[in-house]
Amino acid sequence: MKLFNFNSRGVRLSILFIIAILINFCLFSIGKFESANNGFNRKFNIKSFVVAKRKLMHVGYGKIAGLNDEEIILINSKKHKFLRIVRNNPSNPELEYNLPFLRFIKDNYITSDYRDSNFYFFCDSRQTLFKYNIFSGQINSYFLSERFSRISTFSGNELIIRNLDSSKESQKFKIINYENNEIFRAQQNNILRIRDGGLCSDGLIKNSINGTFYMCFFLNRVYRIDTMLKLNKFIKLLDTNTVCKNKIERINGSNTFTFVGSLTQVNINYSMDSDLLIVQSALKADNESKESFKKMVNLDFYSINRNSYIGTLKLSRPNNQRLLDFYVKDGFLYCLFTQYILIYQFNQM
Amino acid sequence: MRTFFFNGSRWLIVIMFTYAAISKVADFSNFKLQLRKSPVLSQFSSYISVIVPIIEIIISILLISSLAKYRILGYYMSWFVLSVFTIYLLFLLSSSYNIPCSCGGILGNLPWDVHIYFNLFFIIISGIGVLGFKTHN
Repeated sequence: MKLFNFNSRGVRLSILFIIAILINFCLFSIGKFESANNGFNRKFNIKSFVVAKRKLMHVGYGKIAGLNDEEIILINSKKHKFLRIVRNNPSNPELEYNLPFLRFIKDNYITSDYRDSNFYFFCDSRQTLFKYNIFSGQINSYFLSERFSRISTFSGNELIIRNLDSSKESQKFKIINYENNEIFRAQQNNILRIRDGGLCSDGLIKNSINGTFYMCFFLNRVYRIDTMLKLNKFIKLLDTNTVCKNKIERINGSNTFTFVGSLTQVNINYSMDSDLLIVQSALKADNESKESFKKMVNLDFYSINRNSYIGTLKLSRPNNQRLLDFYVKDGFLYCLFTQYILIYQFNQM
Repeated sequence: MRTFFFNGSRWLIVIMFTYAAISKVADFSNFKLQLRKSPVLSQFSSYISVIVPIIEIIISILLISSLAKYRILGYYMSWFVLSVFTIYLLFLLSSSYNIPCSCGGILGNLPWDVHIYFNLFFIIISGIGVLGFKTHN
C-alpha cells in the first residue's frame, strides 16, 4: 500500500515546503545566532531599594530631553514636537508644543540634552546647531566649523564633540564654543582604535555635574573624559566584551566602513547622577532565562567613585512596551516606555 | 476567465522575479553587502549573492517558456524559493530586531510585515499555478 502519492502536486508542494523549513533550520543552526552564554552573571538585588513607583501617560514621545526643577521634558523629533509634564503632580495637564522649524531641516539631526530651558539640535550634514528656547520660542542657529560623529552640550556656550578623520585614522575629542567656533581644547585619542572608521568605538557622550562620560556601544566600557579630554579612566562594565566582536568592512575601497555579519551590541543607553551610573545593557546574563530577558528590561547600576557594580534593576515592560529612554536625577529614575513614564524613587544605595 | 487568471498570475510572478533579479544585479555590491550583514547568511554571502539572481532569472525563463513541463517546473521553483525566503524572514523576525534587507529596488523599502504578506501572496499564486496547471493548459 502506498502511503504517499508522490505524483500528487499537493504532496510535492508540501515536501518542498518542508525542505524550505529544513534549509532554514540548518542555516540558523550553523549561524552563530543568539549565543547561549555571555560569560557573566547579574545580581538582581536593586528592587529592594526602590520605594515608590508612579506611572504617567504620554503618547508618541521617544526621548527624555531633560528635566528641570518641576518638569520632565519629552521630545518627538520625527513629529517635531515636545511635551512638558509636571513631575510631582501628574493630574496637571501636559503641555504639548510644536517645533515647526524642524520641518525645514530635512537632514537627520541629533537632539542633545535639554539644558537651561533650551533645546539643542545638532545637524552634522549642515554642521549647524539650532538652539531653541522653550519659553520664548526663540531660535538661533550657529554654524559649526568642526565635523562631529558625536556631540553634547558641555557648559555655557561650549560643546564637546567626537571628531573622526578616517583617512588619517584619527579621533579627537574637542571642546568648542559654538558662538565663535573657538576650540578650547582638543585631544587625540589613541585608546579607542579607529582603523574601522570609528565604528567599533562608537558611543554616546553625556555630560553631567559629575563630569563627562563616553559609553561605548560595542565594548564593556564607560570612559570618564577628564579635563584634558583624555579617556584614561573607565568604569568596567559587567559583561566580558573587552574587544569589539563585530566584523567591519570597507565599502568599495572608500573611507566609509560598515558592520557585516551578526552584530553584537553591548550597551544601549546610560544615565548618571552623583555617584550612580545606570547602564542599559543589550546582553543577557548567564543566570537569566531568554524569556525573562525578552520580557523585562535590565538596568545595571554602578558606583562611579568605587568603580564597581552594585546590582541590576529588572523592570517589567508595561504591555510589552519598549524602554525608549531613561534618566536618573536626585534619587529618581524616570523610565520612558512607548506610552508610559514609570518613576522610581531610591531609598538609599 | 480561468485562462486570464492563470496567465495574469504567471506574468505577475515573472515580473516580480525579473525585477528582483535585475535590481540585485544593478546594485550588486550593495546586495552583497546586505547579505554580509545578515546574522545567518554572512558566511555564505559570496555564493548566495550570485546564486539568487541566477535562480530568479531561471524561474522567469521557465515560466515564460512555451513548453508546459518547463512552466510547471517554474511554478514549483517559485513556490520553493519564496517559501525558503519567507520562512527565513519569519525566523529572523522572531529572533532579532535589526534585520538587514538584501532585496533590491522598491522591495527593499517595504516594511517587514508587508514584505511577508507580499511573499505570501506570491506563494499562494505559485501554489495555485501548480495545482491548477492541468486545467488551464
